[in-house]
Amino acid sequence: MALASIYARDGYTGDGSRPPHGGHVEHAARPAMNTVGLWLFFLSETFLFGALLAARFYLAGTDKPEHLDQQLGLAITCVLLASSFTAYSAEVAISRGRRGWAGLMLLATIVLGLVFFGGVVLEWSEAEFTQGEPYGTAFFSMTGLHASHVLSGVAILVLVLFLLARGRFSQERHWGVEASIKYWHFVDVVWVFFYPSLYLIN
Amino acid sequence: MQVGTVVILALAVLTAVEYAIAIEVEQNLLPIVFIAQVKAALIVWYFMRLARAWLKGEH
Repeated sequence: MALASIYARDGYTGDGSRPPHGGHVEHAARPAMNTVGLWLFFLSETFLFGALLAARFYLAGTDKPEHLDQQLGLAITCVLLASSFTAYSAEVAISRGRRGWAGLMLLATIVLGLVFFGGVVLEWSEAEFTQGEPYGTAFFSMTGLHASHVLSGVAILVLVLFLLARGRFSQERHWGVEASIKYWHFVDVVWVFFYPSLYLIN
Repeated sequence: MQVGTVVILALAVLTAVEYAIAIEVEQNLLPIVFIAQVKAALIVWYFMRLARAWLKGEH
């Protein structure tokens, strides 16, 4: 029903007839279509990360190596969760027209994202996996792909921050901010599952 | 914003519980998977505003 109403608002009637407004896409329908597209993208990414998660348990069962740095894993998890809060704060701020605070919270999110990435790099340098070890394959694949998403998220947030400083977003028009922050939360959700499967489950 | 504060506090507590279970409990698969699902649901529902996206069908 929701999809049908979105299509109807977007000029698609389903029977080939032209809608009353002449088939032009109404601007009001744009954000809803953008939202659908964004969530479909998240769904496709979920399949990708889900496959890696399944591969981890297929390759190594529920065993975990003792040499993983538990404190470092916990610390970078806390950093990423904190970054979700700052990202949420930025979104709330821009929706209330507080562009200055939104920019500050975006900057905090970027810094926390870089700290998380630094933690992953440190973990990689300390990891003591031997070549051909199944758990090592899973560990580097999962953390590597996730870290690349964190880096791309940071790049997107930097762009959004730049555009915000140029006055491209306002209280009424801030889809770019909202979409990039939703992506950031999605990366956080992925880590919510990756962290325990790599560090905690026994 | 208050909702966001409550959610991040809940996430922090759940992460601490998750870590404690991992340290203390020998076979911890089920409780940790359950906690991870709760954490993910909190982020998706409140931070990603899934309710607003689908229940209202609007931006």
